Amino acid sequence: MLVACAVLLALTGPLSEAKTTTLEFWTISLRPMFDDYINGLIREYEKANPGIRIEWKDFPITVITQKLTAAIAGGVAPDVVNLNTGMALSLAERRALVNIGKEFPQYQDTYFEGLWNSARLNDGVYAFPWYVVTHVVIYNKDIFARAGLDPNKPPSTWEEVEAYARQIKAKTGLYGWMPFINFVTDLIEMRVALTDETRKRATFNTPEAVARLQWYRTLMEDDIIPRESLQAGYAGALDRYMAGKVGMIVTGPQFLSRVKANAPDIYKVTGVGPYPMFKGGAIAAPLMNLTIPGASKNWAEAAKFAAYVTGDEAQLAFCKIVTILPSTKKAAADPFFTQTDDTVESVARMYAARQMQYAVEGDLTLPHSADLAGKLGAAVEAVVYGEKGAKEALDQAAAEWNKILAKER
Amino acid sequence: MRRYLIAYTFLTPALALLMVFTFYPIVMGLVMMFYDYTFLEPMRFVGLGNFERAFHDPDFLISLLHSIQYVIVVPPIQILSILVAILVNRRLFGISFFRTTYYVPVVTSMVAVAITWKWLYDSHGLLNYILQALHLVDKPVYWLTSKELAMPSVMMVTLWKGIGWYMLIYLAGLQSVPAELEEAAAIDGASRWQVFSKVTVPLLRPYVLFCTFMSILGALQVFEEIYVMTGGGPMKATLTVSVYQFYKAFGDYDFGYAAAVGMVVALLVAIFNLGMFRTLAKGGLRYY
Repeated sequence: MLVACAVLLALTGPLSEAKTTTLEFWTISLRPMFDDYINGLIREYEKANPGIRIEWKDFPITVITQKLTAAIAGGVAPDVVNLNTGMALSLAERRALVNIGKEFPQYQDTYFEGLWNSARLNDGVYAFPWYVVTHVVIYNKDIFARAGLDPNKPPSTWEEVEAYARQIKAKTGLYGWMPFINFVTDLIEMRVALTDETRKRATFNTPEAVARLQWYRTLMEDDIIPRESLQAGYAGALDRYMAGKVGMIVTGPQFLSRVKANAPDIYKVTGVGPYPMFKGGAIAAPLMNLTIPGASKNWAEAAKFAAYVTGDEAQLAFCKIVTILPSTKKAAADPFFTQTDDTVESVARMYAARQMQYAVEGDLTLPHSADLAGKLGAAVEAVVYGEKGAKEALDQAAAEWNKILAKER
Repeated sequence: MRRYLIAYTFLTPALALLMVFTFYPIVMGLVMMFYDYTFLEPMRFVGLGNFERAFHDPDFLISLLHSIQYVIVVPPIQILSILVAILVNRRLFGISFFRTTYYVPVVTSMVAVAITWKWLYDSHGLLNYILQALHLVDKPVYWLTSKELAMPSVMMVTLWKGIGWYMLIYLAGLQSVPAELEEAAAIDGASRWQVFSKVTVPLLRPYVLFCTFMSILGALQVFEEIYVMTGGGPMKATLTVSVYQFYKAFGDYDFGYAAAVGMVVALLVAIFNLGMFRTLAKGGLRYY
């Protein structure tokens, strides 16, 4: 009898176990700094959802879309993928992502309406909004003091940024500011319309845009900003800042944790200030999203997991370990975002949260966005390096945009 | 029969890998270049449309011109590694130290090399610091951010990294030159230069052929150093075909077009190397 029971158990055991679904979850540059947080989230989720196993992979921002397209083409698509809005829309254009707005509308009310709509393309919404930041000024108080500037008074306007940068260069020989020149962001923040209402005609070649581009050229010509500003990106500017070679950078407050970990001496003399806004009163807020590739075989499970990672509790916990802001209404209402202690992170968080009222999407949300960004980028490069006049370059870029926008997508 | 069976058994793993990672992508590339293909949407046959588009695409034509410039400049200068090989071919105390030193860049990853040189070339980097300290220049030289200097600066890195590898090939070549031939020429009254130019160099011809072939191939496919150091800029001054092809494929998801661009490069490699074979494949020790 016992033998018969044992045989029966052995036979029925594996059959009675629920089938395990493995979800592949891709993130951008969260390893190794946030290993504990993400692994903790995964552990909790797996505990609460028996039968689901999460396999986490992390990639640098520069390769994630390449890896993703290759994985989709190879038939091994991941299930939940972290992309910024530009990347998400670029893939949505090619019908590579699940239309979350249509398939999973039940999650919509959790998020701020503006952020939910960031990844909107035509009638679809293609991403769960995750974390968001508005930029702040991060500056080296020691360099400010050496240049005769008040270490407790960061610049609050672009005019002051220029004046401070000039003074730092003159007094210390160091660069006062290293920008990451993203002209699309500048135009959006200046409230210069990129296109007309038909979205088929470029309209960004305005006198304000010309003046701003000319401003960069003058700063470069006068050697007030490094020649590498155009190519180095945020990472290059941050590297220089951490090496103590630049007075200030304008970047996301989340990078403070990197300064703290990689350059503790610089962190000790780091101060933060609010973002020097344009008159238009808009701040481009880079948004990170979670998307579900259409080639995933587990849409429903993936959506549930994505909603969990971008949910109130998980986002609030994430915001407590890195200076970012949540995309959900409930988490954002937490007093944590209005209180400060003595740390620069808390001050940065307070500024970033206060600035959220001006936040707008800073990525190109037009069809053929990569092509369009490339044309505008080439125009900016030609002006900043002194090859073309600002007006001529922007007019030419607008003409090129018109040709691209005329194409169907 | 048994011998063939054994031979093919040993070959099978390598052949299987070649099939998957070389032959299959080549065949797919050949098919793809006739299609509008984004990986994510269904393929659409466009015939020779991608080629027609390429020759009307100013960015492609610029990149093609830069790749040809690379071939005209880098492989001929790379031949100077014969001189390095001659220097390290001497029986001197500690010569293996120099051989190793020259070879170190070869075994270093190109990405690491490119990042290091990017720092050296920075407007406030070591190179400019030295030049300014020696009062050779009064303001920084914009190695990678000026339209005129970016390409020569990148070419310099390719040469620097490659020279050790070519040196090693030429060193092997020099050591295979029969000593009695050089001695006989010397006994006949030939000067050291005459021995070198009339005896040694002609005997090195197969090595020159091989190195030039590899150097042309490398120059036409140059990618990492440009991608890391300049990204093809400033103002497309260093945009080469491989970099352009990469941007088209993985930036714009335009895989069909990128495959067509790749085919143009393959044809260029074939043309350059055919010309070179005709010029160099005469005389010398024949190992080919």
